[in-house]
Amino acid sequence: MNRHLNLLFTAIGNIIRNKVRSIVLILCLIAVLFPFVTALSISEGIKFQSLISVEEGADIYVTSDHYGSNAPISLQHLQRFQKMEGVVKVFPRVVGRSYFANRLATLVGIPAENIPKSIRLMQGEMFREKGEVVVGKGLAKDFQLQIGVRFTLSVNSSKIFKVSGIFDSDTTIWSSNLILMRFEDASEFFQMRGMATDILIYTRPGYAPLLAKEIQENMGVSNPDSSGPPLRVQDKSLVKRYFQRGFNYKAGVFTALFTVALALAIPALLVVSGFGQTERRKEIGVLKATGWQTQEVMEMVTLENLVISLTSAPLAILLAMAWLKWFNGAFIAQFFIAEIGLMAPFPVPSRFLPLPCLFAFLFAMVLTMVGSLYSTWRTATIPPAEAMR
Amino acid sequence: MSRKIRTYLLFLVVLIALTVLAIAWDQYSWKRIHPDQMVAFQRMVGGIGMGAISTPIWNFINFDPRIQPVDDSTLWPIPGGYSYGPDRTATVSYFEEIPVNQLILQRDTMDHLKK
Repeated sequence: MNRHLNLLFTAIGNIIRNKVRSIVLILCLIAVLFPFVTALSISEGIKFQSLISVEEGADIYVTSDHYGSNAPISLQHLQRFQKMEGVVKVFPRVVGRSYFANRLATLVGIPAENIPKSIRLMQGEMFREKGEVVVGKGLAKDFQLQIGVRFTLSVNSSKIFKVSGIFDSDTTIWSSNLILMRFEDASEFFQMRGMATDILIYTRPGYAPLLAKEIQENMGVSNPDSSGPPLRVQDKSLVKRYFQRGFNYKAGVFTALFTVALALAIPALLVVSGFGQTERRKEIGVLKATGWQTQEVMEMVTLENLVISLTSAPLAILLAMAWLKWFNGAFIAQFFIAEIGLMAPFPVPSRFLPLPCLFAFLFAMVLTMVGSLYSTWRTATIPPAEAMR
Repeated sequence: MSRKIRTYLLFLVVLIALTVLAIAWDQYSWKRIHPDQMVAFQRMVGGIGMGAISTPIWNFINFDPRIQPVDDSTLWPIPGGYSYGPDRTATVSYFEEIPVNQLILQRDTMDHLKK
């Protein structure tokens, strides 16, 4: 045990003695690990919000299917769905998009009776009258929208909207560029009266798969007798599959990009850790000449890498945490959440779980080991006189 | 053991302890979050948004696959059609279109194959 401790102290001594080399190595590792930790924590934060979106959403979503794509559905289906056994609630929804100046905004129309009393706004109140809308904080901030401001959008400039409220930034990331209005206003704005983008069905527990199947069979693509275009039915289990697949790290393009960065980092670190290689060779030569075994030299270098990794991984984690929590991920979050700009208009969700942090440490270990172990072994196995030359 | 080594060891222990505490604090703060406003909002709109994007740009599917579960960018390269969405890259989520089997083999076709 004493021998291992002595090797550890020698390794720390080496790190302190080769200050420049150690600092460069730690900074390189922080540069590699910082985006990794940041991305994983943002991913976990969004996952949390996304799960709420899935769980609190409807049990079944029904739209029309036009040429294989989603299309508006007639409100005539509403009554039929309401009469089905096991159905608790049915309501139509309009989800569309339109440019608000140069910003793409999501326009959502819902029946007024669907507004809960518990909803809290940053300013103003929920819409009550025709033409009133609630806007996201991102839109309100960028375009200095105040309560009572009237505006029109070029899609239908005859429709005048009035801002009645501004969403709280804590709601979700998707409410930032959202304009919420009454269902009738949205239908009027998009000039699609009697239609909805989707019909949302809430069912009693256990009924959703059966009802989804029934709707699909009676009016789906496979039924040649159904009049009008076929319907597309999505139930909660399908939405959950999207959720699971969408946040699978292997499926994310980020992982592919990070793997490339990692692959480039290994040779870079090989060069960096070879910084002062001549001095290193001499050191190993002296150690060998004074009776050190190759195994001991290797152990000392491994311990050196361990200490370097134990220094850089926590520093990268703390830096990522400070940047995301205190500076709201300024300049960085935009790489992981699309279309938010340099400064996110909402609190960037981030969640630091122990496992990704452990991965960060393991990454650091792998990088430093790949960069130093082979060169050390080669130097340690040649005669000491040759190594010291 | 020199004083410098002792100081470095102490720094390392403090750094690791600080990191563990920071992770534990983050875990605790997430547990304390009462996402009542998120729940109220999502119940009100019927569930909206899933991916790491706040605007429905290029592919609606990356904003919410419930709203547009068909990936329009796969229609490319139809002349005049959509091009690949640049916003599909680098974000921490990516929704792929889940294939749905719509193939139905008719009985007489099967009989014909048997013959």
